[in-house]
Amino acid sequence: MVPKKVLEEVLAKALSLGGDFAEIFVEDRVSTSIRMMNGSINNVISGRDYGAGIRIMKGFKCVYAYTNDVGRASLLDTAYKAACALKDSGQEIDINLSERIYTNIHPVLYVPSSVDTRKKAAIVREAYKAAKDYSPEIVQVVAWYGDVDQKVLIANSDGLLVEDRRIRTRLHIQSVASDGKENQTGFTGPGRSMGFEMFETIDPEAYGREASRMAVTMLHADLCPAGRMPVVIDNGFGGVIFHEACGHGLEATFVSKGHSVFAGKLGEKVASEKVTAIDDGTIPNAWGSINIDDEGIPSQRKVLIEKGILKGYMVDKLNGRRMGMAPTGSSRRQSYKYAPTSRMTNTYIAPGEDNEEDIIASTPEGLYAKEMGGGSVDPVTGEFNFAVAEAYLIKNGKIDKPVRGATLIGKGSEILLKIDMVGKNLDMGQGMCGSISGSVPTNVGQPMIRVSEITVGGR
Amino acid sequence: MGNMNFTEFKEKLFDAARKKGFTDFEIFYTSGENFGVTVYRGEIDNYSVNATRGLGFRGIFEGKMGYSYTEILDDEAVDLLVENAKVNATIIDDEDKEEIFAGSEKYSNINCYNEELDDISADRKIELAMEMEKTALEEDKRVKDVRHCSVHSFAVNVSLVNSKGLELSHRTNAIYAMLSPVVEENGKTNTAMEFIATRNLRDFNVHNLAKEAVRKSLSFIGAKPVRTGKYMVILNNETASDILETYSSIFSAERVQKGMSLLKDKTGKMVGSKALTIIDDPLMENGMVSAPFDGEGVACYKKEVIKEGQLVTLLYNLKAAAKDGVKSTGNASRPSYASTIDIAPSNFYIKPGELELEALCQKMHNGLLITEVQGLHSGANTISGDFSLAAKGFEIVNGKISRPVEQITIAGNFYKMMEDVIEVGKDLRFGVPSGVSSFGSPALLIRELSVAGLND
Repeated sequence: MVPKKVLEEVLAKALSLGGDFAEIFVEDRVSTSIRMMNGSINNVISGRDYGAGIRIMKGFKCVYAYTNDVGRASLLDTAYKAACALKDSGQEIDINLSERIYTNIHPVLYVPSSVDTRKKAAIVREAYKAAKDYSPEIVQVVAWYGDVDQKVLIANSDGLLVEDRRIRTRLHIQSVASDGKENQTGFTGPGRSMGFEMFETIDPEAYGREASRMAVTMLHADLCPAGRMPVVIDNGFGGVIFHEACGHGLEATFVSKGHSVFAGKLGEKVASEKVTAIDDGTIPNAWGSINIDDEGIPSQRKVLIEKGILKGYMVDKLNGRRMGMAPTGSSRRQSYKYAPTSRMTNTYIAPGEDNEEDIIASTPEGLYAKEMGGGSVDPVTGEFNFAVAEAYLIKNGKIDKPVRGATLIGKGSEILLKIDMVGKNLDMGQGMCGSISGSVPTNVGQPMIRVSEITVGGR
Repeated sequence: MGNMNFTEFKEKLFDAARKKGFTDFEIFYTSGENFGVTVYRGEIDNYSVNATRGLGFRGIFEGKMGYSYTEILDDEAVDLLVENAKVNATIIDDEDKEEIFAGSEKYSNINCYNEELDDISADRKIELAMEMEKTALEEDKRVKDVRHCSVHSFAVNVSLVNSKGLELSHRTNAIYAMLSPVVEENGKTNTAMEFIATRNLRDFNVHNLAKEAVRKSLSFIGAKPVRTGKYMVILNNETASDILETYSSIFSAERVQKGMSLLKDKTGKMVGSKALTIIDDPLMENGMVSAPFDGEGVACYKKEVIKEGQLVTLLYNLKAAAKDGVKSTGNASRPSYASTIDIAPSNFYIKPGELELEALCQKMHNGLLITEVQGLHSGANTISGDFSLAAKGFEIVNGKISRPVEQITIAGNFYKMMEDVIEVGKDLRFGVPSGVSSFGSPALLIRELSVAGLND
């Protein structure tokens, strides 16, 4: 993408005013998206994002600059502009890059750009039709297909030169059910680090029907009661509870400055002994997986919490300096327009010993959250909130009628200690996680779990 | 890289588009610079200086509009843009046609660029960020740290050029600052965020910002939940504007036409209380997203969307307007060169009333003053109108603040809430602008919301 000789010159320029580490990230990304609603495909766009970001560190200081023009003159100019921010005495440094090639653990059969756009559109139509035909109460469906082919090159003043290519494909279906007065929605959004072969294992029609089933179920649901109660959260996207309540608080971004309730607690009990939590970017072809992170470090499987004891954080280079810890292959960014920082990949609560039937049966009264929506957290206070997309009341140890409009809130440190049952049926769900380095694809996951008490926001 | 300048690229692209068989076509080009500095404990934590540009192409091929974009302007990009747009056009099977616009009769002459901002050096911005952090740290001994303290600025130029002879351009700039302190008392930490976004230097007082952020953070110390139940509620200006932002899409004519909003057949009817007037003003002075033309090149103008409870108009782009047999309201949005045309509000706000916040509290007598909500992206359903949000604020007893409240949720329905606005305050404030829209509101007194907190 950029000749090695130019990269070496640019890195030397970046360090010419006193930095101790410089890095260049070059990105060439092509993407396509297709949207269908109201019975027709009405939105198709494809494009090419192209640019480079240069990062310089000195101690804990960090400078970042990016440009769309990756010609030699522009890159040197950008590197110099960034270097000027350090305003230090001059130094001359020779950079010698040596190229590395890591194993691609996420093989792709059909690269999106080699697949006819009409075939992609056919997938959207299939999903749309299945969702729309599910019930006469389904008044609208938005089906969306998107693929991304991101080529990156990362070179740094430690001599690293490495390239990677990340291909991802995703399908979204949102169904709207209505009785003329009220609207309710259902959503599914399967995604993989795969090309078009994703649809050999993912049936667009099944996901379409599932979105509509949720919407119709919620249309006939009563309002969720408000108050504190035990909550059973099902597997898959339910793992968003760990992602929000704890995962963000384990990112070095927040830990390194003590801005997380989990800072300084390594080796301490932070969760119930039923909880083991893992961040694993190496799961082949999973939505949140990577070969190397955006600093060029191979992805890892990290045990974050083992039987309730805090074992590790997700660490990037800059925050690792503050913490005196080695990076964990967790540094990610949305694009060259963002400096990278520690982020999650595929984060999940490991399977436990409880049977799912027993979890429900041993809950006399409570809420069963079958499908979760999104959520957010303030890592400083640990306060999180997330929406329940499909919920049911539990009465006398049995799943009772559906309820809508539930939100769960709490403090991460408290909720982890209140997880009193963990099932066996681990599954993952796909999401886009937003934080200071932009929006990145992440998996959340868990088996069915029970939280002994949580505040349920309802009406 | 064989990068070309814009004019050269445009000519090649238009030529290629004509040869490919496009009947009409358009370029949406943005270029700009942005700057940001984040400081931490008196040192630069993050510093960023960037030049960026991008070009969106759209064109009509066999009657259908195809879109493509690029960030690199070379010969290969010319071919890719027209080829991709052509392929994409052939997939479209929508009966409602998008069009390339020949131009409005007249465009307002508004100035959204303040040259004074260009004169603030990078060093000065760093200094301002440092001063801001220092002010926060020295403001109160309970301030333990500052989690985020930054000053940003940007300048951007937008051009729209099409085969129907329309050539428009518009430039805008702004400076903004943000600070979020961490306060601690009795082992409990708390935090809040304060910001300024402006192009008017008189408003850019980082010291006041820092003090206000500290005051906000400290005000929650000792907060506890209230009991579960129904409460009369005041949403303070920031919270009300956040909620308005979340639900603003219900005013999009396209969403109404497609059954994604419950405002179908409501134009001309009462949808809110008499106290509620909502205005969309793309020409507002010092408006963060003010512009003379919209994403399709249609001239922008000020309008009431809701007047004293009555829905006056939805927001339209050309396609949605043609479908309803009305004129575009100049609300076609194109947040970036990488986006297709949608509909969005501009500077969109609830018209202020007469009462200060204190007077609103007195009027409410007993209830909750909500000053922060979280989870709007997940806990608020724009299609059903239902929301259930994590909230913080204060309990109001006998018209006065009695204590801070946290770990509660407020739940209701936005459509119902528009009818339940009893009184509107005078303290209009705009939130952090998001893309092509900026939202503002004064505090709102709401008849009733459901609150989840402590059990009886």
